[in-house]
Formats: sequence, structure tokens, C-alpha cells
Amino acid sequence: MNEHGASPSVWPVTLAGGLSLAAFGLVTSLAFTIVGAVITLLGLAGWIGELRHG
Amino acid sequence: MVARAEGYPDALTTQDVAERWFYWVTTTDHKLIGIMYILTGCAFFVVGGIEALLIRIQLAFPRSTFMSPGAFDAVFTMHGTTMIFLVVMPVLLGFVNYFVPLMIGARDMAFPKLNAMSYWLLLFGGLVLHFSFLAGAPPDVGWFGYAPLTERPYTLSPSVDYWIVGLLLTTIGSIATGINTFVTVVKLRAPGMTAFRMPIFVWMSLITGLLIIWAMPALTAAQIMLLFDRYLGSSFFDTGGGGDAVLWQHLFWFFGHPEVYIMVLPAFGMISEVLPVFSRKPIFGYPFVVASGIAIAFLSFGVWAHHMFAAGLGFAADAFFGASSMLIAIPTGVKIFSWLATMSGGSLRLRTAMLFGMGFIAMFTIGGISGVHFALVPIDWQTTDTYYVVAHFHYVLFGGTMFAIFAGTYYWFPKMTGRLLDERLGALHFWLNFIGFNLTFFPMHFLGLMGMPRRVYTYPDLPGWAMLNLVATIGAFVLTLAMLVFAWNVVMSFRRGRLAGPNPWDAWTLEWATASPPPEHNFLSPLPPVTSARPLWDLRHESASASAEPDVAPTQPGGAGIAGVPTPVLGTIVFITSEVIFFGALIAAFLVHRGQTGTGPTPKDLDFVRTALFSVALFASSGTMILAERALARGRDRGAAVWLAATIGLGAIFMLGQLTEYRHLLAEHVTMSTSLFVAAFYTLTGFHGLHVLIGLVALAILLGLALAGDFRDGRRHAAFTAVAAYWHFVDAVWVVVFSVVYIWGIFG
Repeated sequence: MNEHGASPSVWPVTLAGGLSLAAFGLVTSLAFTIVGAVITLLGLAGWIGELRHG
Repeated sequence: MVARAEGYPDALTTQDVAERWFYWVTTTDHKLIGIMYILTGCAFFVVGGIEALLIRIQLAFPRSTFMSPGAFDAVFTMHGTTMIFLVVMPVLLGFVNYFVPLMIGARDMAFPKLNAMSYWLLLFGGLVLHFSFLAGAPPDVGWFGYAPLTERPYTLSPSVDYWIVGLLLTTIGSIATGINTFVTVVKLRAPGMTAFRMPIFVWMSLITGLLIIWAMPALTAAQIMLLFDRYLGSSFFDTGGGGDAVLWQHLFWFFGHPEVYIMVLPAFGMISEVLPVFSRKPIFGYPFVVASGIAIAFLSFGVWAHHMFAAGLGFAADAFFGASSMLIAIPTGVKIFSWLATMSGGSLRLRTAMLFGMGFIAMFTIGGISGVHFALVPIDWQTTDTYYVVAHFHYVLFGGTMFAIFAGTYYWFPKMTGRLLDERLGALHFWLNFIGFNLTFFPMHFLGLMGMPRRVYTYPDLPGWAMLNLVATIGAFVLTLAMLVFAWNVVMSFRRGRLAGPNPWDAWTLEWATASPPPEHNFLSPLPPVTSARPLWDLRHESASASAEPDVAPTQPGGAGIAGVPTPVLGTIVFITSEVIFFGALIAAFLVHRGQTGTGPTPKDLDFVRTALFSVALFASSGTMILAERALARGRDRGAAVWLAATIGLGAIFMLGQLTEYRHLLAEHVTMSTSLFVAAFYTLTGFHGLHVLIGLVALAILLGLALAGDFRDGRRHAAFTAVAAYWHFVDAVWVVVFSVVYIWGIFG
């Protein structure tokens, strides 16, 4: 859990992108929200996996 | 001192950044993230600057038709929003990111991945906000988004929605950065660096982190309620539907005034680093500078309504907020006297950083004095919504914060890039900046006192107005020239500037004890002993270092008290304090609207008995969670898993109960638009339910990890404790919500 000195990771930008897309969809189209939610879940799962095995 | 690190991917000296995009996108290095924050802020500064020029061109002459009223509204709204949320904050957070770990002798921030996510949320939020231009609906309601103008009946286009969603994203990122900064400073300081040996910039960053954590949730809550008004038919702030527009002002300025100090305190920190180094004297009155920063932070939460005197708050509120607003001038004055005393008798080196530092003191003092005027209610009534206010806050945020940012840039650019900025171009930049700034904004004091209103796209040809406005516009172009000189200086110095070496200013704090730019993990050599606030000065003079602690690599001290709390737990606790403010705002809205039941159900109509039964399940889940923690502490992983499962079961029962209540209400066509009471009820209990759901997901993940054996042999106990703390918080919130909504409903 202590991330001190963590190596590069794709999951922070994935999670942020997913959340942003989901929020963007609220203003534009529900499709963005659905895709954003999927990306968010993917990012969360990847992040947790990295914490477990990192 | 170490030489330039071999093998470190030195992105700043890389010619082709495009080839390394993946490296930048995936980095969790606080230095690169800091640079990305600063570059993002610079990019948005160009946008916000162009908007400022458009405003000044429009106002250069009376009755100008350069822009339509609607375009002018959008431009000044986006100028303010961009400069505050996407320029000043990112640039300051960039400096905090880059330098706080270095200054405390740490390798990185406490949560590097969270740090990266915070940056990306800010960038994406900014992009969503600016997508509004492409969508043909830029926000045009002012950066403060006053209701009811922001409500659907008055703004049909999605412009306000872009404003809400863009800022929600940046705000979440900023809160995460605030938490990260606080935990980093508390947990990762070098051995020997006690609280009162921390550099002032670190102190101010720490305080700013807390301000962000405690101020921004009020804006988040208000924006969510506004979103509900616009999409779900509630009318929290819509006066046409019985809502309270002044409630929006309270929530906004509860965030908005501390936000001023979020943008000013790191600037104070920068100045407190620059002035001593270029005066060759330690900061005068270190404890007073720190204490005054803390005092400013606390007082900033008690002055918000001085932005609302014109709303008619009544004598008592006016008197209270007027007095508290005057009080805040005292710690601010303490800082100014400390900086002056630091320079007094010093051996001043008038390098560009110092010029900007001295310019800061002069300009910020003017802005501070005009600010005190607004604490005097009758003067506020006369000057509010005039250009006097515009002059005041630009003297604070440009004359203050931006001058400090330039001082910090000239001071720290060598550390970040390994090269010095050109001093001749720097002096030219400073004087153009100084002259242009004062030409632009000083006349606005007179325009304001003459009664020229702000936020109005043009003005009549009244005596003196045209001339003063033209001077201000000329000043804006001089300022633009100053920025071009600065940009040229940065580009040329980055390419061909004089090599800086590790410590070009003979400065005293730990960031100067490593190479320029620093290697990946910041320090290759052991840190110098930290026995005062000036470890490098001590090292050079070897006075204090004789009795110093042995050299130790930067490491996480165990520490006592708050420093002894495991990092994830501390992060969670700080996050919880932020959540307290969020729920506080929702509860405040509920209390305001509780009595407005219209033809819908009243508090007495809620199903008290059934909810009480379901509440017992939630409260019991805190007990099973404690049992799970105890089992884990005794090494009984399976037992912990069983109690975790019980916790999840009890939490799920509560959720089912809440959903059942909602189903019954919806079956009777009780929706968000039924009444303000119902809207506030759904919002408050719904957000609590969302938190329960998030808690259940976290608990389910913990259960999975427990079954996979991840907690064996004491591993990851801190993560377990962090989730447990969150769950207990969710339960505690329900105690308050249940009392306010249900018990008061029955017995009140």
C-alpha cells in the first residue's frame, strides 16, 4: 500500500480519463458516461492489481 | 553535493518530448508531475491572457462594439475561471509538487499514483471546461456562478453544465493533491527535520493543503445541488421554485474566500524562501511567519460573508463578518513586517528573483489595504461590483501571487532545468511587468470609486472614464510584452542558459543539496544533517553539524503522534475531514429547506420505524468491522474474513432498506421536483447511500484480498485499517443524518 517511490503506471491516467469521460457524458451523451464508467472500473482494477503485485 | 545524475531520463533537456509521451503520461515522479502542472498552467495562461486582452480591447473606448454583450459575458467568465482554477492553482500546485518532497528530503510524494491521477483530473477538467467553446456554449455566468442566473429558466444552454462538470473534476484532483501534500509533509520528512525546521514554503504548502481539503467540498456540494436543479427538477437555488439563491452565495464563498488564501499562501512561502537567500539573512521571526499563516487559514473560514454584504444579511451578520475580516489583516501584516525586517540590514542581491520579491511586497500591500476597505460595510456597499473590486483582487492575485510565482520561477528554474534564466532579460521582464501591471490595474481604483460597474460590456462616455480605461488597456499590452519577454527568456535559457550547478544562489534548504535537475529519486548522496531550518548553511559553517545526527538517507520516520499513523490511514483520515465539510454543506441545505414541504410529504411522513430498524443493521456493522480488525490483529485471517462478510451483509441490509423507502416514495410520485424538503431529503440520504455503496465495494475488495491471503503475516494491515476508518465514518454520518432527518422529523 505504501507507494513511496512507485514506478510508472498507466492506471492513474486511465482512472482519471474514465472519470472525466463519464462526467463529460452527463453534459453530452450517455454513451460517453457508459464508456467512461467501464474505463473507470478498468483503471480501478488495474490500480488495485498493481498495488497487490507491485 | 552531487553532479548531474547519469542515466536519469532528463525530460527537460530532451529535444523531442513527443517521442517520450508514454513516459510522461505514465510517470508518477513528483518532479515531472510538477512540471506538467506548471506547463499546463502556462498553456491555460495563454488562453486566459488572450481573454483578458479581449476584455481590455472591448473596454478601451466607451460604447465599443468590438464584442457583443453575450461574448463579453463568456470571455470574462472564462477569464476568471481559467485564471483561478487552471492557471494559479496548477502552477502553485506544480511548485508544491516539485519542491516539497525535495525540501523535506523525501524521494517522492506519499501517494505518487494518486498524485498523477490528480494532475490528469485537473487537465481533463480544464479540457471539458474549454470544450464548451467548441460546443458553442461557453459559460457566461461569472466565475462565481451566482444563482438563479445559473438555473435552467435563465440559462438554457449547457454552458453552466460544462462549468460544473469541468470544475468538479479539477476540484476532486485538487482535494487529492491537498491530502497528498499534507500526508507527505507529516510522514516523509528527513530525520532531524522537526516542524519548526521545515522551510516556510513547506509550512505554507501544508496549510494550503488543509485549506483545499476543507474549503473545496463546499463548492462541490453546491455544484452538485445546482446540477440536480438543472437536470432533476429540484430548486435548491431557484427562487422561482422557492429555492434560496443566497444559500448558493454562502456555500460558494465558504469555498471562495479560503480559495483566495489557497492562491496566496504558497506565494507567501515562495517569498519567504527568496527574500532571505537574496538578503543573506534568515527569515525574521520564523515562528511568527508560520503562526500567522495558520491564523490566516483558520480566519479565512470565518470571513466568507464579507463577499455578500450587498445581499442584505442583517446588522449582526454584517458586524460579525466585518470584524472578522478586519482581524485577518493582522496576521497578514505580521508577514509583511517579517519580510521587511528580513531585508532590513541584509546584504541585498538584486537579482530578478529578488526584484519580483520586493515588487510582491509593494503590490500585495496595496491589494491588502484595499481589501481591508471591504471589511467596512458602508464602503463595501458603495464599491461592491465596481472596478474597485477588480483592482483589489488583481493587486492580490497578480501583484501578489503572480509576482511571487515569477520570483519563485527565477529562483527555482535552475534547480528544475540545470540552467539559469538570463538576468538581463529578467530585469526587462520585471520592469515591463511592474509598469504594465500598475498601468492596467491602478486606474481601476479610480474607475471603481467613480462608480464604473464591473461585468458590464461597455460604458457611457462619462468624464475621465475613457482616459482611465484607455490607460488600463495600454497597460494590458505592456503586460503582454512582459510575458513575451519572459517566455523568450525561458526558451532561450532552457536551450543555452548558463549552467547552474547544484546551488547557484548559495541557498540553505535541502533542494539545493542535490544535482540540478535532481536525479529520479532526488538524492544520490546522504542528506546533510538537519539541525535547523538552514541545513546547508549549517553544513558550510559546521557550527551546528558537529553535534548533528548521523547522515541518513531520506526515509519515512516512524514518529510519534500523527506521524506515527500509517500513511494510508492518515490519508484516509484527512480525506474523511474533507467529507465532513461535504456532508456539512448538504445538511445545511437540508436545514434551510426542511420546512418547505409544499403539497408533498413532510418529515413526519417518513417511515421512521422501518428506517430505525435498518439503521440498527448499519450501526451493528461498525461492531463487526471492529471485530474483523481485532481478528486480523491477532493473526486470524479467516476470522477477519468472516467478520468482514458480516459487515458487508449488514451494510447490504441497510442499503436494501433505503432502496425500499425510495421505492415506496417513488411509487407515490414523490420525486426531486415534489418539494424542496423532498429534494434535500433525497440528496442527503442519497449521497450517504452512495458512500455506503463505495464502502461496500471497498469491503468486498478487502474480503477478496483476505480470502487470497493478502493479509497474512501482518501485510497490508494499514489498508485494512484505512477502509475500516472510512466505514466507521459512513456509520457516524448516518447517526447525524438519521437524527436530523428522521428523529427530528418525528419528535421535532
